[in-house]
This record gives sequence, C-alpha cells and structure tokens, in this order.
Amino acid sequence: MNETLPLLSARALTIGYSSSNQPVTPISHSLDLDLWPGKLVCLLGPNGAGKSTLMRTLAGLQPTLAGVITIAGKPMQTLAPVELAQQLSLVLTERVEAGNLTVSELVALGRTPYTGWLGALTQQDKEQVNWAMDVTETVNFRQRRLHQLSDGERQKVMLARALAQDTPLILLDEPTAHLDLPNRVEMMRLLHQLARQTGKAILLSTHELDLALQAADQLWLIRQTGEMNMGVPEDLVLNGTFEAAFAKNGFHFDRTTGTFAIHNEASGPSVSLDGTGSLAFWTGRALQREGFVIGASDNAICLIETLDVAGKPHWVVTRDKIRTDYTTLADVLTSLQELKHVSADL
Amino acid sequence: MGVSISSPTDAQKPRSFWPQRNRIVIMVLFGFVILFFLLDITLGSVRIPLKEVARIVFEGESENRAWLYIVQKIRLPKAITAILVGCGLSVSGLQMQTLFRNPLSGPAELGITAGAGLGVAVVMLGGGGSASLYAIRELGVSGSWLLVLMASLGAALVLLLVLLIAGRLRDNVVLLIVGVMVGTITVSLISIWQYFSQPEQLQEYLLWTFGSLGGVVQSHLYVLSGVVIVGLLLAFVSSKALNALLLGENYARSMGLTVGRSRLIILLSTSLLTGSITAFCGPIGFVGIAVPHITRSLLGTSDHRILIPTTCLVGTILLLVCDSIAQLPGTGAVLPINIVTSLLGAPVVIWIIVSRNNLRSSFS
Repeated sequence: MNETLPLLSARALTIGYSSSNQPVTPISHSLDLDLWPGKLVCLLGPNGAGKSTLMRTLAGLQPTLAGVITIAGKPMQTLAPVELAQQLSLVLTERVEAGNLTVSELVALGRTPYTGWLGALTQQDKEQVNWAMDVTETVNFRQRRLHQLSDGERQKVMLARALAQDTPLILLDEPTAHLDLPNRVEMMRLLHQLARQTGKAILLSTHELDLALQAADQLWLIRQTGEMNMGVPEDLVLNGTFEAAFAKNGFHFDRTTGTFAIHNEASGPSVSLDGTGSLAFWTGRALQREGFVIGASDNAICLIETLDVAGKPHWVVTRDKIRTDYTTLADVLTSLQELKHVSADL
Repeated sequence: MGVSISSPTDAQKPRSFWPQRNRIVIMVLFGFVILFFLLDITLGSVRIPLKEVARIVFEGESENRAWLYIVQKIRLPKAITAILVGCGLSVSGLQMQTLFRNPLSGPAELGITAGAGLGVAVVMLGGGGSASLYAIRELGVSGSWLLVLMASLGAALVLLLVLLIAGRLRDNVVLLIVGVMVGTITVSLISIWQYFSQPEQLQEYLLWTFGSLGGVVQSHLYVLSGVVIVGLLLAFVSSKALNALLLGENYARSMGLTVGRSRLIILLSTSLLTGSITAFCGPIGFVGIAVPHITRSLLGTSDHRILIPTTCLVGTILLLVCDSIAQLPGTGAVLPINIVTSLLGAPVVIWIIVSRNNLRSSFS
C-alpha cells in the first residue's frame, strides 16, 4: 500500500441520528478527516459532543447522514462486511458478557473474518493470535475466563482481539474508561507503540486530556457545538484552541504544565518563590491551592526559598528579615496561614 | 510479526488440557446415551429381559412375537422420539441463550413453545370437527406436514416478536418478563379458542398439552426426524456466527458477520426445532433452558462447535432418563413427559439463578 495515502478518509461527512418519527438531527457537519498509517489520533471532546457517534459512524455501525467515508481507496458502503472486517477492527465501550470464554478463545474470535465456515484456525491464524497476546502481555492469563479478569486485563484482552483481526485500522471507543491510572498510562503507551511499530492507524476517543496530549500524534477536538479542530497536540495548546474547546467556568488550562487547574486564579496575598525543579513546582502547587499569588518580590508578604539539603527537601521562609527553616510543606503552609491572618488584619 | 516470547511448555500445557478433558466427557456421555437408550426400551408395562431387548434392537429378531412388536413398533419409535426431542429442544435453547445473550432464555420460557401451540391450535381447533389430532393421524404424512408447518410458523412469529422487543431492551430480567407476557397472550388466545370449541376437540387438545413421546407413529417419525435434522444442521452451520455473537451484535458485525442473515438462520433453525417437536409431542418445558447450562458446566467452554454436539448428547440423556422415570417402573401407569421434565428441569433453573448472583456477567 502506498504510504502516502490515508487508510481512512472522510469528506464532507455529516454525522448524527435520523429516525422515522423525528427530523434528522445532525451532530457535526462537513467534516474532513484522515487517518494515516503509523499515527495515533485521539478524539477529545466534552460529554455529549458526539464522540461516540463519530466513532460508530467511522466504524460503519451507523449510517452517515451525508458525505463519503473511504477505506483502502474504496467507499465504505461498497465493501462487503468481511472486506471491511479485514480493514477495520474495534474496541467498544460495551461490556462483553460472555464470561465463560477463555482469553485465548476470545482473542481467537478476532480471526473470524479470515476463517472458513466452521471457524477452524490455521497455523497462520494461531500465530497471529499468539502475537496479539504477546504484544498486549495477555499470554500469562490465556486460560483464564473473562469473568476472572480485572478491568485493566479485560481491556487489554479486547485490544488483543482487535490486533488478532490484523487490520490496518483500529478504532477504540474510550479504551481507558473504567481503568485506574497505571492501567490508563499503560494502555496509552501500548497504543502509541503499536501505531509506531506496526504502521497501523489508531483512532481512540478518550477523556484523558493529559494522556492524549502526551501520546497522540494528532488530536481531533470536537466542540459542544459540533465543530471540529484538528492538529498536532502542541500546536493546539499553543494557539489556544485546546483551551477554548474545554472552556468552562471554575477551572482554567495551564499552558505551561499542560494540565487543567481546578483552582481559579489566586486572589490572596502574594508570595515570592525562589527555587528550581520539581521542588519549586510542587511548592507552587501547594501555595496556589491555599490561594496565594506567586509574584514579584516587591509586594510579597514573604520569600520562600526551596533548597535541597543532602537529598532532602528544605524550605526557608523569610519575613521581615527573620528566617525560619522547615522540613515539610505542611509546616510551611501552617506558618503561612498565620501570616495570611496577620496581613488580613493589617 | 513479533516472535512469541512464551516458553513452549507454558503455552501448550493448558492448551491441551481442556480438549483432553472434553474428549473424556464426550466419551462418557456417549456411553450414557447407549445405556439409557437400552434402559428406556427395557422399561414398560410389559416385562422384557434386557438381553432380549438388546437382541431385538441390534439383531432385529426374537422368539416372542409380542415382544418383537412392542419393542419395534412402540418402544423404539418412542426412544428415537426422545432422542430427537432431547437434541432439538436443547440446541434450540442454546441458540436462544446466545442470540438473546440471556442465560434464562429457552423455547418454553420466551413463549416460543406457546407460539407453536397456537399453530397447533389453529390446525386442531380451527378446522372444525374434521381436523382433530385423531384426524391428523389418519391423514398421515401430509397432515403432519401441515401441523409442523403451522407450529413452526407460530414459533417463528413469537420468536420474531420477542426478538424485536429485545432489540430495545438491555435487561435480562425484563426480557424474560416480556417472554412470559408474550407467552401468556398466546395462551390466552388459545383459551378463547378452546372456549368456543367442541368438547371432543378440546379433549384432543388438552391431551396434547400434557406432552407425549409415545404419540409419534412411524410415518410421523420420518417427518419429525427430517425436520429436526435440518434444524440441527442449520444450528451447526451457524456455530461460527453464534461464537461471534457471544461478543454482542456490534462486535459480531465488526468481525464481518452479516448479523441479519445469521439471525434469520438461527431463527429458522429454532422455529423448526421447537415447532416440529411441539407439534408432535406437545409443549415440553425446561429441557431447552436447562441442558445448555449443564453442558457448559461439564465442558467449560463457550465454543458452539463443541457445545452443539455435546448439548445433543446431554439433551438425549436427559430425555431418555425423563422418559424412563415417566414409565413409573414397577407400575403400569405412565406420567405425561412434560411433568417429569418440569420436575427435573425447574431445580436446574433455580440452581442457575442461585449459583450466579450476577446473571449479567456470568452469561454462558
């Protein structure tokens, strides 16, 4: 296949729902989308913006309202179900309830588009299944039943099934939902590696903004209004698009750290902070939570220096030329609370 | 492609374990089938020694003409009917449990048997005085085809209705209630019909509702075996589709399955099996729901390529045992088969519900 062609492209795509007793309700208009080989794309957007609808439409589970989706150079409607299944595999949010299936049986089901009428596996099928379990690190529990797996293991098994299907395209609908943080990070790392190493085009929808910013080659931001912004994550952060897409009262996006701050801009007394590295960063976080403004030294109520003393964190608070030493941030904050009251009284 | 890093012992040892165990289970089941088949033929109001029974079955001859007649014309057709019913209803239940992704599905539970009963009622009660079961028997093969056709149509109709409603539901228990309701409506329709029917027609119909394996005469047996074999073949052909459907409709579609067509074949198979069996033997409960569960727990697999044949074996054994019990060994009386299957099957269903607290995640 020509490397310069997208594996999936959509032109003038309109997604949404149409039913017989209701007027057509489009969610997004005239979308032009491309999925390139070897690239991981993250679809982000607030709840209800149409992420799942877009995923379902691109997967062929739901008809388009307008526009064309082209897969492997052919319009999607002209592909037979088996041909489509050899191009595109899915990991869905719906929970698979076939609890009596073993992991290897389930992963082997991924070979369905290639097997004969009875579904017997050839040597090549078995190799593909083994490879899929290898890369997802699910080999160790290949004989376990589905209902014996944790959510994280289960999600890896579902990914293994999609990999066994051996398709150039993989679409995952919220693969990190229900997972704890280490498993979320693990899943994203795995998907990023897979895209790079196997040349597959991977599209996933997620709510994990910071993970998506780190792992994605491209972001698709879908707004509540249905409009879509696309680009390299860093570009979207720097030009403010990312911030605008998630604009909401009560929190703001910090471009420097790439995180959403749950505290509004501080309005308390200002403190000047002197230090570098993670020590200064976390000290700043603690001060912000307490409502202090970290600012210039001229109107600061005190100066806080962060020091590294023999590998242990150390804080020196200077106020009215009186220096006090602290070894935990908790103590620093307690003393600052007193200062805060004093300065409020003045 | 990457290279497998797992050591060969790690990968092969557990792999060979289940099939090995399953092979033994299947062989033991085969043994039981033969044992209970002979037992079923031996038991009855007339005492015939086991040795003689085996001779008649395998060599087809005996000095005692009466015994020869009893075994060949009465007991053998009845035992064969038991096998057909056991296979047919169990496989029908297995397909429904996978199709609806609901462990509590079965032909009787979702009203499919009642639908087949409606078809039977149409023939028996609808045709005026001339179309009673007795008349059907006299009509022979052509009449029995009519009965099978109507019963299968009735079954398909109810199944289609439940399938349409199930598309809007996500809850196992609600689906079951819907099934019971559809069944109740169907039974009510039949009751209205009964109310306006002649007493002699009613009697035939009521006898039919008790269920009987013995009412299938030889000419009917050909029809029944033909239809059941077609139904079983359709089910076996669907086993790959059924496996894919275990993951749900969306996944099945994403793996290249034409879901609509597969559903149609499964629906056809289930209707033929339930319809033909119900037409000839009456509504037989609990076999369809219980046997697939017993089989799964015996094999520890959800693979329909193994499940379907093994379900046939377990269903056969269950029906032969039920029929043997129905003879009430030692007495001359015979219980209706429906009562025996209910007595044995209902506890199994209770066991399923009690032993699995969360029916959703424990399916299959």
